[in-house]
Amino acid sequence: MITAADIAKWKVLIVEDDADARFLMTYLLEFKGAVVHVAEHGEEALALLEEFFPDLIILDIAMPVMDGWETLKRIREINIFDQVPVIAVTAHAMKGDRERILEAGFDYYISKPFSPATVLDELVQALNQQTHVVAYLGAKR
Amino acid sequence: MFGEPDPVTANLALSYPWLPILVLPIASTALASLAVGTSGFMVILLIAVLFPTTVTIETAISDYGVFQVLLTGLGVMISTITTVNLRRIQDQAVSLQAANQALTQQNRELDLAKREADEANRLKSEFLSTMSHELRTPLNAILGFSEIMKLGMGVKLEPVSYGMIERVHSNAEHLLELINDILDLSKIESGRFEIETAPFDVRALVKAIESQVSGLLAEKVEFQVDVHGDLPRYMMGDMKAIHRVITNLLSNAFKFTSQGHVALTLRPVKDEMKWQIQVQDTGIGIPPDALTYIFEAFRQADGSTTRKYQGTGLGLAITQTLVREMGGTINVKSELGRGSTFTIVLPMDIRQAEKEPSS
Repeated sequence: MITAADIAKWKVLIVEDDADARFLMTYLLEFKGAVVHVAEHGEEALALLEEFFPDLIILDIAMPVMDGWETLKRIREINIFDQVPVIAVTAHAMKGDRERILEAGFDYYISKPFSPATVLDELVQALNQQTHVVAYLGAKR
Repeated sequence: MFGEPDPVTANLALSYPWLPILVLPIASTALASLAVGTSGFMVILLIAVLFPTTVTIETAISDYGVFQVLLTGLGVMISTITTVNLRRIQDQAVSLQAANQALTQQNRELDLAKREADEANRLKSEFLSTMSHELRTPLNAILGFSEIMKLGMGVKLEPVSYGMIERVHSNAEHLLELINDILDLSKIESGRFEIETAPFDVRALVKAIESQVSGLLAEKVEFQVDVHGDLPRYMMGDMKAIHRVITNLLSNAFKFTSQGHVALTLRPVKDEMKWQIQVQDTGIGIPPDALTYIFEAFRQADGSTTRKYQGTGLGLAITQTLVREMGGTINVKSELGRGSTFTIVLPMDIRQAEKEPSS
């Protein structure tokens, strides 16, 4: 069982090309006590992975250089990261996007705009539904 | 473009294509009999000359003369009619061919226009999807940071700044609502919103709506809900669309009613395979002249109320479009200062619903 207080123990990698969105998510997670690293696109994120070894990755879908779909695929191809929870963030709120994202192998989906007041509680609640994520984050402690 | 065909002959040629086949033999028979008649007269004249005792030349001439004249007249008449008709039918055939060509051309143009419309629709969808994304990105920052400041997450605000940031936040929320409604409306109007038909529990739906909207209710307003006992438990329909139209009407009713009641009534229409959803309120009402345009996008009854009562002004437009898509009708009765009643009538479909109830 993960609680919101656990966020303080997380190392989170935020991959987002929009500077404001990056700052917002960083501020929010750091406010809750998490250690945050940022990358502006998929390639930069992949380069950071082994050095930072995040507990959780927050990944924007539409990005230059390497988008979220490709980045997720590459992350899953690396043995030690095939279980790391990856959360999609996207401003695409059209019908069918949610299904497509979960089908691709993301563990959760945050749609922009999100509410800083509730987004992390909702995230924790959703992650608790997935035993492999709970086990993964529990083992990291 | 081409000569106006005489409708009578056009019909004649169209309905009796065999006419020339009939007329031609008659005409030729008439001409033949003319020839036979003439030769017959010559033979009898010859007999009269050879055997003057049996037939006199006078009787022969007078009898066959009359016959000959009649026969000739008939022949001329028939051949005239035939010629005229043939020419008319020929003319008809020519103008029919022209009309046919014009129609083919028109069909080709229509086909092209349809393809162009489809392409425009596809571009519109693409544009909407892109616009949706582009608008949400800056809104995410505006909503996010203003909320963080409002919540005082690591930020301390003077009361004045707090008031201002609260306005920034509520306006950004309103803007987001507008964007969502515009997208929905264009989606429904461009036919990309598909009405789904599945069995649903109408009472469970009403219960969900009740708990969802109870927060919108003003203190002095009573919310009455009545689902008629004769309404089948399970019906076929698009639950999401029905949910949307009911909540749209209710949120309007709550918004414009400061005291009295808001009543939601669902009941079957007597003697018809239809059911109705009625939302009645004791709110400010709608002026009679405004009743004609309140279903148009961005039109509230009184332009000035848009500011006072918030809302996007798109709720009723979306509601009406959805109701039409579901094959239903919506109408409104209202009295200024007394309240309004919106009535939606939808076709009732229970064929599958009775057999496979869903939870």
